[in-house]
Amino acid sequence: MSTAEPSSTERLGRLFDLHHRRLYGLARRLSRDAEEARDLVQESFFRAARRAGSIPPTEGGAEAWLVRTLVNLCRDKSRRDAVRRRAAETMLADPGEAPPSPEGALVARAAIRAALLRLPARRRAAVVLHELEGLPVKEVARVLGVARVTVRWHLMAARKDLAVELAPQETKP
Amino acid sequence: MKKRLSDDEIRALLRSADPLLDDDGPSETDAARLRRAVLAEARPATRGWRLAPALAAAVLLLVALNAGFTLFESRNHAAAPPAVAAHRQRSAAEPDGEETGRRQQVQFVTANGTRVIWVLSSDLSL
Repeated sequence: MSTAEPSSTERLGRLFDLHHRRLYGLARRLSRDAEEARDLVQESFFRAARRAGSIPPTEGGAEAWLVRTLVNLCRDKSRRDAVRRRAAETMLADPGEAPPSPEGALVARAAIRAALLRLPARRRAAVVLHELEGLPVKEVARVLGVARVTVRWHLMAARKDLAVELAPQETKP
Repeated sequence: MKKRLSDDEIRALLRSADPLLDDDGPSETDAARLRRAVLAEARPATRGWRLAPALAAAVLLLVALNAGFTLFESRNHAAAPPAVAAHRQRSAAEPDGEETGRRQQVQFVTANGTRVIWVLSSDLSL
């Protein structure tokens, strides 16, 4: 007879119910497609299941732990897929190769997504959390487990990269 | 000439390309399936951790038994004088009152643990 197992799994279940939608949203914004996002969310919770003891006891701490795990998984995946990803994204992002079609808006969105995906994982996470999820710098720093100045630095570098990457599409007639 | 985008323009572009604009996320069924998978992943881990102390205790018990047996053996050998040990070895090695062949072997262990083996050949004449 043991109470440890039910409480551990119950807590995991509760964490899942509370955070899986939010994590999916973040994963979807950080990754290439829905399938990849689902895989990232699944692996994040699997890690939580295997390392239940390392999840902070507080609600905010647990959420930050899950977000950091997801960002780290995303970073690992980006590293593994680096060569293939670069090739695919270069094709998508190159305006010269974009076919003139009624789906121009779709192509433009793909190019913006590709530019975002080209950012290093942690920088991308900072941009997504701040610009798309609307979190203040302080909160982004807490969730990612880094200093505020680091978040500001990532945001500045990301804006600089994105400004250069996305500018040609804006000047295209 | 490339036009440099402002921060607001970048933000607007990013929001216009937000994949969540046309993605409602996993369905309730998918979420429930994933939840079950996650909880199933948690169970073997907790079971494993519960077994760990029992395994460690079993290993410790085995080590202790082995150490005790070794100590008992070495004390037994050390306690017996060489002659007695030799006699024991001989009587264990050969049937009473008979030679097993042309050679006899006498083994004994001295008090400080040195093992001595004598091989006596019946052909040997001094």
